[in-house]
Amino acid sequence: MTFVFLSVLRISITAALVTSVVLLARLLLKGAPRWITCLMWMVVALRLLCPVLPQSRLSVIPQNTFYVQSASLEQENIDTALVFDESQDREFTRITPPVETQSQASLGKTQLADVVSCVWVFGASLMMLYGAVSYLRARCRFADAVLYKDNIRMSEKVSSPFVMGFLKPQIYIPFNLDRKTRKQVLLHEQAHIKRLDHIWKPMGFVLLCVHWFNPLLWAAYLLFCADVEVACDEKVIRNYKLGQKKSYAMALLKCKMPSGSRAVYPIAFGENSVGMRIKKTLKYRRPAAVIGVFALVLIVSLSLCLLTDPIAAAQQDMLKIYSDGRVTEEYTEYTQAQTEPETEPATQPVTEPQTEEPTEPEQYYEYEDTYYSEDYYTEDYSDDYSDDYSDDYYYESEENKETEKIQIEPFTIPYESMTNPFGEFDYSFYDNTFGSLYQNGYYNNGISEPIRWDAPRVNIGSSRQDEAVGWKSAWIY
Amino acid sequence: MNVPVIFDSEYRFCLILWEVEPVKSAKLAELCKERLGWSRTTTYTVIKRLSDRGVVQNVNTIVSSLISKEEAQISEFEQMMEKKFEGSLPAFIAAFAKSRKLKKDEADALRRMIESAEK
Repeated sequence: MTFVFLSVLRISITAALVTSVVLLARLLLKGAPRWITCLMWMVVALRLLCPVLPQSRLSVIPQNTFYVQSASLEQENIDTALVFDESQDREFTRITPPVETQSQASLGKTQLADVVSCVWVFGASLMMLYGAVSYLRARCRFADAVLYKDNIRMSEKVSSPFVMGFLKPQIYIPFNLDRKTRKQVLLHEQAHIKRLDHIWKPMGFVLLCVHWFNPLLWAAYLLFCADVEVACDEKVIRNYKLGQKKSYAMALLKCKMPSGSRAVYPIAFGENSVGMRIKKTLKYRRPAAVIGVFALVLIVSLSLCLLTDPIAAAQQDMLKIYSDGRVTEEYTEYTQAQTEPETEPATQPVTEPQTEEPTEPEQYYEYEDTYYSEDYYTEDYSDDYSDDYSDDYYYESEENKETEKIQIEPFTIPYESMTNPFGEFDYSFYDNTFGSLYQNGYYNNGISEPIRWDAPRVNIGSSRQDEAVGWKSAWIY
Repeated sequence: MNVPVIFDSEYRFCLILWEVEPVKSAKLAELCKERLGWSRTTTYTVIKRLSDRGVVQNVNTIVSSLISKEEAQISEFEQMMEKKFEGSLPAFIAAFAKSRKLKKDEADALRRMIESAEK
């Protein structure tokens, strides 16, 4: 649960960023037709829906957001990190370290993370429950609305018209509307249905339930609802002359349409101001076609910038760190303070990962030849092991030959390769979410002996540098 | 007679009932589905609600009304008179005549009704 919460948190932070950009764009586009702003809210929704998006150079999402939680997670990792279990000789096993090895502070932090995610789940379920219950209650309440014609129903319980239902949306209007008003109201509601607002709005609400802790997204949802109404007004009065606009404005005033026309009836968060909408209606001028083109360009460019993740730099950083035993730009400072100067190789400019093609992760199933790397034995890695046990273990396994040591090139395994055609990979993947590596693995290609390896889990920004180096080797059982 | 409240959508239901009563509730549900777009359960709920209020009765799945259409109309009219015309019949007639032109035979019928009411 904590895991899920932290991923949601990451998405939420990214989305908050996107929301701020959209808010800014919305301010700039004050005079433009509102369907454009509605589309921009869609960009926010997509960002919320897709945890992983295509990578592009145009992305303005800072990479740092991927690491936002690494610091807090570091503490958590200690919990489940693989530690050398001395009681079981020559085996790394996944154990929970005894409490005394854990500092009280880290224990507190882990607990805090658990508590916070509990609160999150509670809040989200509460909101969803509220939404579901009010929807069902509305269904019951308006069950006896009588058919007027087609999908239009009338009920004395309706105070302001609205649309309800997902697959077969129905328009609910009060009984006592005069013909003129009714016509305008129906046009407005039908515009809602045409725009599929009865689907977008509940969808937005569900997203809001998940991200209920994010004030920016609340603002986004409320503004989205307001924009939807205005966009609908604009759709109806597009070809209206002044007289017709007046009659539409009257209809707005008469049946308090603004508060109505909610796609999900009970989810009403204050009324959109009638005055504003009436003013807008009377002032409305059909926008020039140029604006449509301009809007399209804007939306496309916004999506390119906001709906893409930065180029795999995050992953490449990881690769750099572990293949060279040193880190890239972002964390150089941090680790330099701890590593000895002579172990710093002079190669590999730090900016390279940005432009480099991502290294093929395929190497992992070619373990038979390439993983037995000679220089592992010739090169002295003992410096890198800052823990005593690492050295001991290394030599022990050499002597006994019971287990074989192989070198595995640092790799990242995307989620999808968990079920790759070459065999199964278990729990060995780069976790993009938290910037940590899960390395205890089990690899079985169905032909040769299955390989299982265990190595400490590493995370970026961790002070436990030794773990990162320890990862270079793996043991075949 | 004190006529219980009948809401607008219930009144639509009653219109059907008055037309076809006495009627089996299943048949009524069918009619309601067709004309009002009600689900079967909604119809049964409304029958139950109205029989609690004493508007209809449901005896052995045969539904019939306890209040005639006229009674309902009179009660509705009285309410409206009180609410909108302060109980003044001339004000009402004036508004009625203004809202739509009376045909000659309609006007005659009205006149005759007023004369008979005077006695």
